[in-house]
Order: sequence, then C-alpha cells, then structure tokens
Amino acid sequence: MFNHVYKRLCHYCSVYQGLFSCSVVESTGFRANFVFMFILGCVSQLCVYYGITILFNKVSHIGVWDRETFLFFASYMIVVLELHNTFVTRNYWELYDLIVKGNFDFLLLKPLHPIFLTFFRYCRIANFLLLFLPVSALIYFGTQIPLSLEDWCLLPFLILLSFILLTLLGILMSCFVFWSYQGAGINFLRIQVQEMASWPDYLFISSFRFLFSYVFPVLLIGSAPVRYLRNATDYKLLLLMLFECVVLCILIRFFWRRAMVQYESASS
Amino acid sequence: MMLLKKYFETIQIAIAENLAYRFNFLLEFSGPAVVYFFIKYNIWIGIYGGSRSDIILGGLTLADMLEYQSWVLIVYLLAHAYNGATSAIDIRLGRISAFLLYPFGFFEYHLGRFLGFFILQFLIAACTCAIFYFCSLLQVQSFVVLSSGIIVCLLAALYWFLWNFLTSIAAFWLEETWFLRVIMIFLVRLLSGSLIPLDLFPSGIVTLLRYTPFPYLTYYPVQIFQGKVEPLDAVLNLFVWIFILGILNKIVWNAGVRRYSAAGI
Repeated sequence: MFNHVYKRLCHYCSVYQGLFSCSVVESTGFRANFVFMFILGCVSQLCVYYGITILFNKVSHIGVWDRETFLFFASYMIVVLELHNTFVTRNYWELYDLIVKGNFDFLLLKPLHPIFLTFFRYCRIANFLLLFLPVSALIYFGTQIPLSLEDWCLLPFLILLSFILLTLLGILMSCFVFWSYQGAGINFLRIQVQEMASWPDYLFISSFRFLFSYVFPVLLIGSAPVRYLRNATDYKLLLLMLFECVVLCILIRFFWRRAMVQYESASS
Repeated sequence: MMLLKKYFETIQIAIAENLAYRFNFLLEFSGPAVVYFFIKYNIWIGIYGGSRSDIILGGLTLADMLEYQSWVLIVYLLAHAYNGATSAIDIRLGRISAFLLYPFGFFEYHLGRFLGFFILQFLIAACTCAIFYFCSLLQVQSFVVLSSGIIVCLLAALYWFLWNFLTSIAAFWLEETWFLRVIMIFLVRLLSGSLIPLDLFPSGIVTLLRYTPFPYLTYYPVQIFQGKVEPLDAVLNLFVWIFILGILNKIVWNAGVRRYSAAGI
C-alpha cells in the first residue's frame, strides 16, 4: 500500500518537473511578457506597502495591530499570493479556454488525475522572482514583532498551509466555470475574494467575519497563522483552517464530479 | 448620417450581446466592484474602530468616509468597469483584417461597443445610486450636481476606454497585453483615491498627482457628486488627457497596422 502511494507520488513529481521546466522555457521565451509580469508584480506590491504606510501616517493602530504587525501580515499575504500566482493562477484562466476549445478532452484521457493536470499545468516564473521583496519584508517585520525561534521554524509550514487553503478555495470556485458562459466572471470574483483575504479578519463586522471564516474560509488564509504567531494560545483558528482544508477537498471532489457530468465535450 | 446609423447599430448589438448572458455580465463587470465596495466598507469601519466611532481622519468622519466610498462605487460602475480585452484578442487572432476592409473602422466599432456598454453600466449605476440613497449611504445634492458628475464620469470612462484601446493595440507587438491593463488598475486603485481618499495622502504627493490623470478618474468625480468642487477643472483636465491619449492611439495604431502582416489571408 505504502509502496504504491510512494510510486504514484514519484510519478506525479516527475510529471510536475516536466511541466515546470516547460513553463520556465515558455516564460523566458517571451521576454517582454516576462518583464511586464515582473513590473506588474512590483507595482502591486509597492501599492500595498504604500497604501498601508499612508494609513499608518494617520493612525497609530488599526484595530489591535500596530504598524509592524500590520506590515508583517501584509508581507505574509503577499508571499502566499505570489506563491499562488507562481504555481496556480494561470491555470484558472486557462481552464475556460480548455473547455471551449475542446482541449479539456485530452486532459481527461491522460493517465493522471484531471484536477492535477488542470490546475498545476502552467507556472509563472516571473512571480517566483517577485518573492524577494515580500520575503525580505517578512523577515524584517518578523524581527520587529518579534517572533520566537519556534515561530520562525513554524513560519514556512504556515505559509504552505495558507497556500493550500487559498488554492483549494480557488479550485472550488473554478469548478463553477463549467456552468458559466465565460470563465472571466468567476475569475474576477475569485480575485476579489483574494483581495478580501489580504485584510485582517478583525476589520470585518462580526456576521461577515463568521461567514468568511467558517462557511467560506477566505479570512482564515492570512489571519489565522498571523494571529497564532502573535499569540500561541490563539490556535483555534489554525485548527479550523486544517478542518476547512479537509472540508474543501470533499467539496471539490463533489463539485468536480458534478462538473464532469455537466461537461459537454466540445471537440467530440 | 450613415456613420451615426452604424454607431447606433453597433451600440444595439453590444447591448444585445451583453444582455444575452446577464448573469455573466453582472459577474464580470459589476460583481467585482460590489465585492470590492463591501471589502472597503468593512475595512473603513474597522480602521475607524467601529460603526459608532467619532474619529476624524483627513477631515473625514466615518459617515463621510462611507459616503465617499459609496460614490466611489458609482464612479467605478460608470467609468472604470470597461475592459478592452476583446480588441486585443481581435488583433492577436487576426480578426482586424476584416475591419481594414469594412466601411466602419476597428476603433469606431469598439467605440460603439463601449458606448453600448456605458448605457448598461449607467442603468446599473443608477439603480445602485437609488439603493444607496434610500439606505442613506449617500446624499444627492441637486439634479445639476448629479448631472455634472455624470458628465465628468462619461469623460473619465472615455479616458479609460482610450487607455484600454491603447493597451489593446500593443498586441501588434506583444503576445499578451493584459499586464498593461492590470498595472493601470493597480495604479488607479491607489493613486486615484479609490481605496484611500486623497485627503489622507501627503500634500506633496497630492500636488504631484494633479499633473497626472489619476485624481480625475475617481477623486474629483466623487467630489463633484458630493458638490464639494466645481466640475470645470476636472472637465478641462480630462479633455487634455483624452486628447493626448487620442493622438497616442492614432500614432500607435498607424505604426501597428504598418507592421501587421495579416497572416492566413
């Protein structure tokens, strides 16, 4: 059993390695695109930092957090979003194209799970390079809060957990592309959901905070780990995050099956 | 007269196309704006420290800030919702070959489509404005003030259309052009006062921004709707920026068409 799982995992890893190297070649092949993508990432990151700076020029605290904690949270979220942009985002936009042009049929025929091939096929390498600024900022503001040694050790795992939750939410939303006329609407809505995750949960009024933490857990992505890092007794939201990941996996499985029934296969 | 008829037909087609898939239309153009408003509404209540706060930031109370953000949504629906994605695809896939032969140009066709889109967005913005008015989220000063705000928004929308068209015709040289649109969206979101009113910006930055089109895309239209400033300054500035973008569009289009090889014909 263990051997079988291990072999499958190795197989998926080798396929992903191939997909990743294809993406690297493609990204560096269109150099203008690569440069513009890099500029876009820089502009978006600088806009976030400058926006927060303007706010903290007027107030000393936003809610319970001071400037350093808020900027630490912002850096944490930018790291998670850039990882998400690197490894997953482009695939959301490609899904609609795959469906309408009938290329989705070919994914269904391949001996790998179609969710893997649909959502992890393309990478944006420029976004990976953009991690430099937010990671540096994360380390700097982490020393300002300050974080303990255990917190520093835990930080990469928390980032990974946030990335997984964000990806699961994105995949769940993307399943609805099969029912929509165009994929753009759902993708624009997904971007706004991401925008919501970029702000601490305590800023939202209680009913919305409950809704977007327990029902559609977008506010947990950044807030739960940063709350835990600030105060280790604040671990309940982190457990909720793990629970929500499991629930989302079940929901994705359910909606993906329904989507496959809905799919009309344009090319066949 | 014939040209006007062509515009009229294009507007009609654009409206019919958009209304054919109404849910998709709302999801693509209005949904994100409403979600963004909802986020900002919550954030500002949080920043002010609760809905009963008496803090004043940059001369704005919480009620002023929420009214400002409500007007920002109206301005967004009127002026910024358009995305010229289709024109870039037309160029990339070589569909403009047909437009080079038609008696109605590529620019005119997309301008017609934009006007059709604007009419729909105007209706959505009017409904949103009415809902906000009855929820006491915003106040309408007078019919004259409202009309002048709409005229300024029409000019801002025209500027937005021309910018989108300019980025689209960059498709003559670039494989993808959406980066340029998204860079502009990020800059407009921050520098036009869409997220944070310019009253909270350092004065030096505000002075600098007056020489750019950004404040005239959100901040000034909102101020005009609120009856705080006269529309003349914003109208003149927008006319200048529209004129500059118009010329740039012409130059880039001519250069692009010379480069265009119409492969497959």
